[in-house]
Amino acid sequence: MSGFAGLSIAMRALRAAQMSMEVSGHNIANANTPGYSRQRVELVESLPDLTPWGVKGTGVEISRIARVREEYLDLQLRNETKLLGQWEEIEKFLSRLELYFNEPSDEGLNNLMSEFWARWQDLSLTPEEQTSRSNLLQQSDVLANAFNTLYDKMQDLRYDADEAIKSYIQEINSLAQNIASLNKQIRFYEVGDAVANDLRDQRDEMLRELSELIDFNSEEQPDGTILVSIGGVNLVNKVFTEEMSYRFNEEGHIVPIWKTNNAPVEIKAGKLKGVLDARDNKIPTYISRINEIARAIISEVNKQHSKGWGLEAFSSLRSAYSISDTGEEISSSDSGLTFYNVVNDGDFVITVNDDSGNTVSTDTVNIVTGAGGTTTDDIVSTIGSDFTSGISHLRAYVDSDGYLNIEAEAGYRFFINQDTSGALAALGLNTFFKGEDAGTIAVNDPIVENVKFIAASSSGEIGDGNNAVEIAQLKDATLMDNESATIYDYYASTLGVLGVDKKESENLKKGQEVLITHIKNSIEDVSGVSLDEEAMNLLKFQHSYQAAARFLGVIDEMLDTLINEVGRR
Amino acid sequence: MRISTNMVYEKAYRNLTLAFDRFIRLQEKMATGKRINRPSDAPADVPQDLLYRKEIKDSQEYQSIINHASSWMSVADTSLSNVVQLLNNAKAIALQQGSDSADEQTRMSAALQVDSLISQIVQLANTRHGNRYIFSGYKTRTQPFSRELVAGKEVVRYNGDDGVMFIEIGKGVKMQLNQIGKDIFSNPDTEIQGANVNSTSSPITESTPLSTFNGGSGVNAGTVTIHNGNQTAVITVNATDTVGDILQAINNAGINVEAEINQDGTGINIRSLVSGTELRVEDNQTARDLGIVGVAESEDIFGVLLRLKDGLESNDSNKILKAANQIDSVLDKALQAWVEVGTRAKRLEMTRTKLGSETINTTELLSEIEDADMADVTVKLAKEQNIYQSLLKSITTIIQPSLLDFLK
Repeated sequence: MSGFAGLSIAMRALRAAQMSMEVSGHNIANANTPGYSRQRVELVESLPDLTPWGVKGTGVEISRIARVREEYLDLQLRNETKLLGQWEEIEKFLSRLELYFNEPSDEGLNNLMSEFWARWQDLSLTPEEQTSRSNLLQQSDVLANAFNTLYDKMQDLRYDADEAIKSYIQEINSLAQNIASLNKQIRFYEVGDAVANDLRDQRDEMLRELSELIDFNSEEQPDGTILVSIGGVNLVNKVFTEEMSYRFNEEGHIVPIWKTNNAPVEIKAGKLKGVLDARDNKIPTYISRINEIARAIISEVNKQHSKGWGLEAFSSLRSAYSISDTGEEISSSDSGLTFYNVVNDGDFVITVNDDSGNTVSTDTVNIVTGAGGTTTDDIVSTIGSDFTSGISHLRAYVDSDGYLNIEAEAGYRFFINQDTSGALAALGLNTFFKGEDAGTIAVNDPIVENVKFIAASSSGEIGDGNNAVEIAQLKDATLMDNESATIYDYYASTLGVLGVDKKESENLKKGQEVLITHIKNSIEDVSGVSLDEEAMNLLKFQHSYQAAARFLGVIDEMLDTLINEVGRR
Repeated sequence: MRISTNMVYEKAYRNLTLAFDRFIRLQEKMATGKRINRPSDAPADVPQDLLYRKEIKDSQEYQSIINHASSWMSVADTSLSNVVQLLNNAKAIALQQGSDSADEQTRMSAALQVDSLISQIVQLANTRHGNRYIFSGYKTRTQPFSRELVAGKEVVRYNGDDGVMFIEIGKGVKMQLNQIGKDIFSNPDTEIQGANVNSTSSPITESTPLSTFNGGSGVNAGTVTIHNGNQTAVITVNATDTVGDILQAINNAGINVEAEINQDGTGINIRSLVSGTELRVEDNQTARDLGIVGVAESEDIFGVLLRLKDGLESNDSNKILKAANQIDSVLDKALQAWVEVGTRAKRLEMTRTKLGSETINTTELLSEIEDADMADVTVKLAKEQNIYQSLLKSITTIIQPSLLDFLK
């Protein structure tokens, strides 16, 4: 044995201890770094010497610095994270909807509808009074505004979703860039057996962040780079990335696409999926339900209203709905009328009065549905396009915007009502509301200008409020869902569905959180830095270092004796 | 199992968040007093919640309608009870003055009393509820009854219509609010009901020619004389006229009469538009051909009282006694109307009571699903507070020391 072999044993031991302490230091330093996995110096015995007396150990050797990590846990984490992101987003949007509906409360639509019908009841008690008419107008305005606001807010929410989508697309692009550049570095560092621990940690963390946003497949390549693909398109391939972009669909909303070929991105999970789902499925469901309620109120109130009499006759009247083709039957969608489907066979009456209120003529206009039925042109020709033809002292024409106008000659006025056909409701003549859905519902212009046009009367007499009672009774009529539900039933069930939807997303989100916590714990269990453990390690390797140093001292003394003492003899 | 330092913090943080979340939710319930603050708090209960709220709102509105109707009924009740009282007075006067002990002198002064009674009843029949005349049908802004002199003859005219007002006093329950003044005070049935004219084109309409009458033999041309009180009209009838021509001629005669085709379309009815007159069509061949010969005298409050006054003024005991007899039947009518008001008032009262208790019930049901159980919330809140504080304490003890603290 050569005395110098001891020196190299000591040296390697010192280096191993030192390295281990440094790695512990590195671990301690990164204890709070997200995605960091603890590292460990793997020590092996160095290659032994063959001596005549057998195999002799030569000390310790550093095999490698390894990161402690279970790859399959990362995969699990990513799989669950993408679902968490999805439900988080849906829950976020649904809770905004809950806020908008503001139920149950005194400010929600439920209560405003009740107030609206109650004002009709009040009107039926004192139909002569201007105040009961004005109160009704004001309450109807409040109701219509509430519908408009709710509708606008929900539509705006969908545009908010677009902003979120834009920023997620940006994030995905920047993550892709980062992953690609890490790919490049890892490939550079990992020549031979080297493993770029810290860079891989960073890359794993990026992949986890990416999984929050979108679902993807990842596959490690032999050169250490990772291939990330979304729906068959390679987002990251070695050091190259595919850029995600967006275009606008016909509704003006954003659709994520691949920049190279403008093909839509296949999105199955993640926040992006959640936002898209909220924007395209969840929110529209509620918008369409509110629209249906608004449409039922508009068409049913109008139908009843056009049966009745206001306190004053019209001198001119413009339809609230426009006609795109005056030659088509008003009972057909081809006419362009929003409420074409409320038209049945029946008739309405036009009464012409002179200025002192004496009836000059009463004409019944028949409405026939189906092919060959009554068209707008037919109605115009019945009334006549000048004051002499058709009904005397009245003329009718369709203006350039497609609205039907009826005008009385100076000195004459007219009533148009007693409609059993729904034609007046479809055209918007002598109707209470205008507009076609929750976004556009409003009190019809003539009534806003003069509340005397509110048709509370079923006979034309001032003290008659029976038509107002009929309208008020619509509140309990089964107008919706194939005549199986009242407006309230439908609204209440809508809120029930919203509640269930929101609760479901909340529960799924919570479930995902629990799962992820569990997986994260497992990862921490394997890869997390424990300060206590590192302190122990420090202590352990400090002692090793001290012992190795002591050993070096002993060898030194031995060599000193051999070199300095032996030669003096 | 290894416990990493991160995990300790992470877990501590998560537990804190969860505890705090529960704490905040309870706190919200405490602050609002409500179990349901948004649909997702109790999705299954939310629809019912909204429907209960609607029902409570509806009940409140029905109660306000009932209040309105009740006050209407009490106005009508006062008016009709006074009418009944005044009619009784009139009857006493009639019986007294119909007897032989009465003379011209007493009858003259009684006539003045009756005159005042008529005025009072007209005033009562013109009672208003707020700004609305309660007995004038839909013409609530038109004074329903007016006392007039027509050709020197005193009459009472009804200016209202027969519009029936309905109000909703419960879900789908309608009630008639008003009573038609004409039905109570003046008789719409006072008319000469025309005989069957045997038209060959039955039922007759305004355009039916008179030549179809009497099995096709037509109507003899000539004149028809109609008396209504002191007014007289002579209508000329041509054989070529239509029914419409005749009706128009009578209606435009300006003697307060109205002619119309009867309901079955078999003849022509003629009716006086005012109370207190005798309607008479003179008998001649033309009138007979038209089937309108006859006499009609309105047996209504104003008609009878006006005739009583007439009788008193003319010192005619027959007329007075006849009127005395007729007062009974018109009194009946007034009583009937009065009872009707009472019945409606009672129905309103019962509905009000029912609505009241229903509202209470519904409010309770709503409270059951919507309101938080405060005792429960308070206890839970205290518990959560406890948990939260213990958690904070335990975290400080776990997190603070590490092995490094002991390596000196």
